[in-house]
Amino acid sequence: MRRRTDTLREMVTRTCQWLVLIGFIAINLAAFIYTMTRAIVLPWPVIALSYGMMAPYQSATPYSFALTAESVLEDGSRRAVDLSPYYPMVAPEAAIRQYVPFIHWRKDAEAPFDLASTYHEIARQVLAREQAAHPEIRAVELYWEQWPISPFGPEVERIPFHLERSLVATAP
Amino acid sequence: MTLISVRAGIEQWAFRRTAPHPQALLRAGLGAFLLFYWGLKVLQVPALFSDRALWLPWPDATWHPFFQWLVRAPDPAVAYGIYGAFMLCLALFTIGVWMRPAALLAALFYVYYWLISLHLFPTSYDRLFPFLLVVMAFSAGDRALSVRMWWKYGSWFAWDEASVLGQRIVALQVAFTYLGVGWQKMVLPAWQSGDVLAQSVMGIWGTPLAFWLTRWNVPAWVYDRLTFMVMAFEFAMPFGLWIPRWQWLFFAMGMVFHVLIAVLMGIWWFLVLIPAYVAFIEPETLLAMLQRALPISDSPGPPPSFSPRHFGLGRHRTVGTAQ
Repeated sequence: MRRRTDTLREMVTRTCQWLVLIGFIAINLAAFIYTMTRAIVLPWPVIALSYGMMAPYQSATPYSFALTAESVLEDGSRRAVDLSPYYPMVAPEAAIRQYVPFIHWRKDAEAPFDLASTYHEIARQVLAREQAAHPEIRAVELYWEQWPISPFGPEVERIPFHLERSLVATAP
Repeated sequence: MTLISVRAGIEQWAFRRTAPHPQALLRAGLGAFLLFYWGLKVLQVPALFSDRALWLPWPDATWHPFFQWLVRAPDPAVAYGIYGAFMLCLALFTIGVWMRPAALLAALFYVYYWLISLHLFPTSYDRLFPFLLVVMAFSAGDRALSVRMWWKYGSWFAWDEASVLGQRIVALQVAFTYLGVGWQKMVLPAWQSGDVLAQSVMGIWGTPLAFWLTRWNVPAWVYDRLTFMVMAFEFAMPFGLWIPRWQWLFFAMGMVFHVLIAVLMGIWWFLVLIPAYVAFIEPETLLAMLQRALPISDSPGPPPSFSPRHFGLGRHRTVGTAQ
């Protein structure tokens, strides 16, 4: 009896091991096919994680970029808002986190939120926190800035002549 | 070669019960790395994971109410409590005590952090880490060089035989990651010239060393050749790692590659792949290597004797005898 139980347990274990191995390889092959050809041979939710683990570096651009903010005070004057407390990570990660709404916007079929509403939400949250510290603030404006890269440093070309600046959101 | 012999060969390769030391080193290496990686965030917890952060969770109003409840912004004290529980799980995983529940819980915490924050910086490695935690939760990572073995046998160097499947899954995943990353570059338009390399080291990720190197103003063809070398390396890597005769060369090239990425672009998180190469070493080979430095026996169970020479204390045996 005990021998039969052991044999049965061994069979179940071996079957599970085969299922795990074959399933794992099949999902990765499907993700690899999607990676190379954009053909979806298994449902996307099944391969999404595997595809994400084999996505190459694609952040190279001929420009640097950052999100900046200005507050508008009661008297109409303006003041720069330091966004670094809201993005406490290293500068490149902060820039990518600020850039992500663009990525979501570009593949809006998969987007959990769109570009305009995301930036408006960021502006709304920044305004609430800034107003708590500085009640004279009436509004916050978010700007997207980008400038050419340079071998002389990340900020060297961030000068008015080369800087592109566009308003992306205002709160309230 | 018959179907039965192929099946037996695969079973021998993927499921055989053997020394779990590669899985133990994977456990300790991955756990230590994650403790360091997440430990660096300790001062950023309120600004990243609490109601003081810019709060843009992944689930929206269309998700099940449970997820909307789950991703509500906690106050900083609660955020630190969650973070502390996560770090505790990672610590238990690292030392190999209650490894399985600790790894599974850590993976669940990872999913939580993905939903509330990491999805805004959706990287390969923040997908790879929780996946590896799940694999390790079903592995034999705590069957050697662990607190569990110390509790069971009274020796850190005791070990229990276990299936090699966990090690194989980790190795396959690392190989698939190199395969997808490397081969996709052959078809991506951005990778068809050296511009991508030049822009990478001068762009937002460039380090002072990278900027210094770019100021040498080398011709564009140098970047073209370097890009080709990177692609050739990543093309061969998923295969070279498996060939015992060549794998040490690929380990070395992988180390150089990831260290260069770390020092030129500040992307150091993939350094974890270097210790993960241990997954490509056969368990018996690694056991023999470890036995040269540590009192580990050939067979499962505790070491037959403790020899102080292993700790630089002399050559006389003090515990047990091996006559």
